[in-house]
Amino acid sequence: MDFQTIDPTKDIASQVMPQNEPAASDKPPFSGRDMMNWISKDQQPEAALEKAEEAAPEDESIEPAALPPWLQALRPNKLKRSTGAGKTGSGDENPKSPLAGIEGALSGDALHQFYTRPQIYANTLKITPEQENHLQRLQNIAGEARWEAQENGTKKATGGRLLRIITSLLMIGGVLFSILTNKVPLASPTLYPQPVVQTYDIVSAQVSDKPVLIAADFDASLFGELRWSSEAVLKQLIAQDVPIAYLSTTQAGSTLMQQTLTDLATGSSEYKIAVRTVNLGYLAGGTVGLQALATDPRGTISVDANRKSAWEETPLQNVEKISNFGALIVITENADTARYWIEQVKPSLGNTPLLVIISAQSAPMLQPYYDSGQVNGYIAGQSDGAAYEKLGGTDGSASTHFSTLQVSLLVVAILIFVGGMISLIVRTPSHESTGQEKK
Amino acid sequence: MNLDANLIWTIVSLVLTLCIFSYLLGDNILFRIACAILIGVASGYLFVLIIYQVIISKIVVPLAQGSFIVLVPLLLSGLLLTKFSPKLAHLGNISLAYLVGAGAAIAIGGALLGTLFTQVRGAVNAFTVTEAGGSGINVPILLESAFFLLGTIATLAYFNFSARSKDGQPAKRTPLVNLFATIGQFFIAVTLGAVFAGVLTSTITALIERSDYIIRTISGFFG
Repeated sequence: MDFQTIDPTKDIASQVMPQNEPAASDKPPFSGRDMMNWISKDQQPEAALEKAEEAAPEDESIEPAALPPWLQALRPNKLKRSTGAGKTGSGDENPKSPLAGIEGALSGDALHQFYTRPQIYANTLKITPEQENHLQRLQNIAGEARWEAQENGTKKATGGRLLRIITSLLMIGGVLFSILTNKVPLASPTLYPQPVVQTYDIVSAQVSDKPVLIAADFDASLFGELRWSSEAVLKQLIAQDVPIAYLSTTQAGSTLMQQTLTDLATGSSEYKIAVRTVNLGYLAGGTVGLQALATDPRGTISVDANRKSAWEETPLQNVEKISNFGALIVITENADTARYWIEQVKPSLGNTPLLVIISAQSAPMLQPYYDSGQVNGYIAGQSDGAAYEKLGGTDGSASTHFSTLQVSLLVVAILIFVGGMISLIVRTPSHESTGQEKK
Repeated sequence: MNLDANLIWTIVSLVLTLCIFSYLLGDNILFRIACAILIGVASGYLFVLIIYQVIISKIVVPLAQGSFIVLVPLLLSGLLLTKFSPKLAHLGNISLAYLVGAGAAIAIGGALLGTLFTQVRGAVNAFTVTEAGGSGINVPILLESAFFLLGTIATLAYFNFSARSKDGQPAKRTPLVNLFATIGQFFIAVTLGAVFAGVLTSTITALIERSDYIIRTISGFFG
């Protein structure tokens, strides 16, 4: 960029504005060296007209044509000079034009004379010497700052990665130590949450001639937590010989549920998994599918995952509507999925209880539905799963690994506390220095 | 341990689990391979699932049984495919309109009847605080209900961003709304803290489950 020095003692406006360029109104448009030849030839219409009139006597050798009266009647006007654009009433006024004198013909005047040339501004920035000094100083500061930022960024990335590895090793170390030793003396749950107790009561009341519908609506990533939370409930249903029908609105849900039920039923010789369970497969359509299931389950799911008629199989023979199930158990990690089941299916359930087994991360969002009575009970996360197992007097995966969970949470709490303290100590001087610089 | 399908899948699971864990050392090729496999397998599985459990079960089989009503959804599904062609794309609007209209109606109806009205009724019913037998008022329950009501109103007040503006002055909320909004911040902070604790617990449980799986698998290999 070019800079031009300004003398502040003189008139700045006259120095800033371009000197050598005339104002647009003083100069004809499209004139000068940037104008094309064919335009410049037609630049002076008046002169051209005069030239044409002067040249007319030279053409006297050509005899004027004898026009018939009807043609002369078409050209009654005397030739006049145009006074403006768009004036067509007097016809084309060029005497040599074939349309000369015809009423209503468009004017052949050069249009370029009615447009103005755009304003041209100078592309040089004119600054004072003082401003130039400021600019130079700012450039120096910016250059140094960028260099420092790059160095700090590299240091931060290395430090962040190191911190992440240390934190991970501490957490994994705590988990592995707890699993391997399995002798960490921590307290097991002694207070049972009310939703867990109600869930236990409802599951205990299930009978062998009324099937339970399970919605396995979970993502595979959190299946580990949900398997531990639901294990005791499923074991209890199997032990009570309750028929189970299951479906899913997620692609992996019904397959994972089938695998889980098969694994759990292996320990029970009396429960015939092939006869007592029905895999209704994948329910498409999201909330629309749920609404259809609530109003007409037989019409919505006509065949099971193996493409056999689902409702003629023994466990579901007596089910005509959704309220004929003994209970509906929704297993999900997502609070929104639980909400869809509550909103769409619960109104059709009647007195049939709705239970939810949910991930710990979504439990706070489910609590209002339990308080309002829309959900009859729920189990949230591993700790509730451990409480349920203790209620039933059994030891399952949730109870076995409950001490590991407590140790891990303790490690996390210590890490958060220590990290917070270090952050408080380390960052305080830099904040103070920043504040001093500002002052 | 015999070389059967279970063993192969166990080894595959173990290797993929370790590949995912390698992200602790930073983004690397093993982690990316595991992610690519996950996405590819999930997509392929979903495709097969839809073919077998939706298209065949819900269209082909009913058609073969003489139920021609399924031609309607089949036609609407076919119209959706016209969205690939710029010239015929407008034909797909019929299906889209049906999908969006039906979906929105069901979702809004469910949210109103299943959440909004029932939650309001739940908040009102929480003040049914007579002792069993109607002998008196259960004061702790009454206080708890009042606390919940305060939390609900304060949280709603925090998200009320409308305000009156006077000439020449910036728009300001009324002092009463401001007071409730300040209280609402406290409830929101507690809620977010609870959600964060839940997320932490869930992820730690997932870590424990995977660690337990790795230990069991490796100890299974070595007897």
